[in-house]
Amino acid sequence: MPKSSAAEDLSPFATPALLVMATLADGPKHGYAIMQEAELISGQPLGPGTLYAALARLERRGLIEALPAEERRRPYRLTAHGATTLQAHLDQLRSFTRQALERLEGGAA
Amino acid sequence: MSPHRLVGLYPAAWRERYGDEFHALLETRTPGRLDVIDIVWGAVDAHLFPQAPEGRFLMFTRLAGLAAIGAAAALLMGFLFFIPNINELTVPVFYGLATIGVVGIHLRQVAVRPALAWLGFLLGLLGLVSGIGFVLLTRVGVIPTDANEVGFLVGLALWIGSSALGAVMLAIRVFPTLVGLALVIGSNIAVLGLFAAGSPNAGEALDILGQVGILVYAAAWLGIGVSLLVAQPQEGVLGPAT
Repeated sequence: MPKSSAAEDLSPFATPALLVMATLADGPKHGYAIMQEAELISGQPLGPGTLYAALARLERRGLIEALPAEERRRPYRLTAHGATTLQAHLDQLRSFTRQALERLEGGAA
Repeated sequence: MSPHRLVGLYPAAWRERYGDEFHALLETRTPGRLDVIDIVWGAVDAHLFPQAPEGRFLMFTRLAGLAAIGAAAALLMGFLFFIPNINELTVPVFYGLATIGVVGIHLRQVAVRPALAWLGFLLGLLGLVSGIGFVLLTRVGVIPTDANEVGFLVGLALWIGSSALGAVMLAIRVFPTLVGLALVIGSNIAVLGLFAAGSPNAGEALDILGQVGILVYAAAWLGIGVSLLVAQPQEGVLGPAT
């Protein structure tokens, strides 16, 4: 049974894993497309080794799944469990961001 | 470095699962220097923390293989440097050598047949503890040091541990039959040779027999190690992956 806390299980690839999940949020993508979108979202390049380390961990935990290969490229998509986990993690980040901003604005005032 | 070589840095199970698409990715986007470092780091991670479904199995298998090869090398060293001078030092050395193999095999067995693994482990442990206890008692003077008695105990522990392990391996067909038989037969011949070496009436033929037994025993460990390192779960040599 996959665990629900993705990020805490994926260290040291927790951040890349979250990034990969975010790129898959709007539909299946293969490795190269994931790398391009990840760089677009984060502004940082995602190396091939880091990408596949994250993909392997996410797949092992049932957070993503591979679709049938198209030629030699294999697309991946979020599972239902992965989507729930991503949603929970993003909610947590949103709460963190809101509180941090409130404190920053309160301190500046 | 070519994509083919970079993919080759990863473990076999990883390549089986991701190798083709990873290779295609590296062909699409030629890796730069930072990419190469990133891929090497990813390969190290894949070796240390296998994520494939059979990853735990492979990790145990690899560790067991390395331990078995270590045991073979150590046994040969023991044969070359210690056998001609059986004394107190021989006992801990040989128990150490036997322990390497026992631990290695059990790393593998625990992943496949936990119940049988524990049986073999307990039998080996019994010999190990009794031998170490004997050595300690001779050290503190409770038991007078006697090379023949020490040699006898070394042989006894090796015989119990390796025969039990060999029997377990043959029973569950984890390794090729020849390797399991070599371990059982080799250990018994080696023990006979150790007994003979400690006897005042030891003949040359028995001495040679013992040396052959030790070599066969070491060769069996080597065979186990190589089998573990080269075999893949789907090949059936190692039984079903768990």
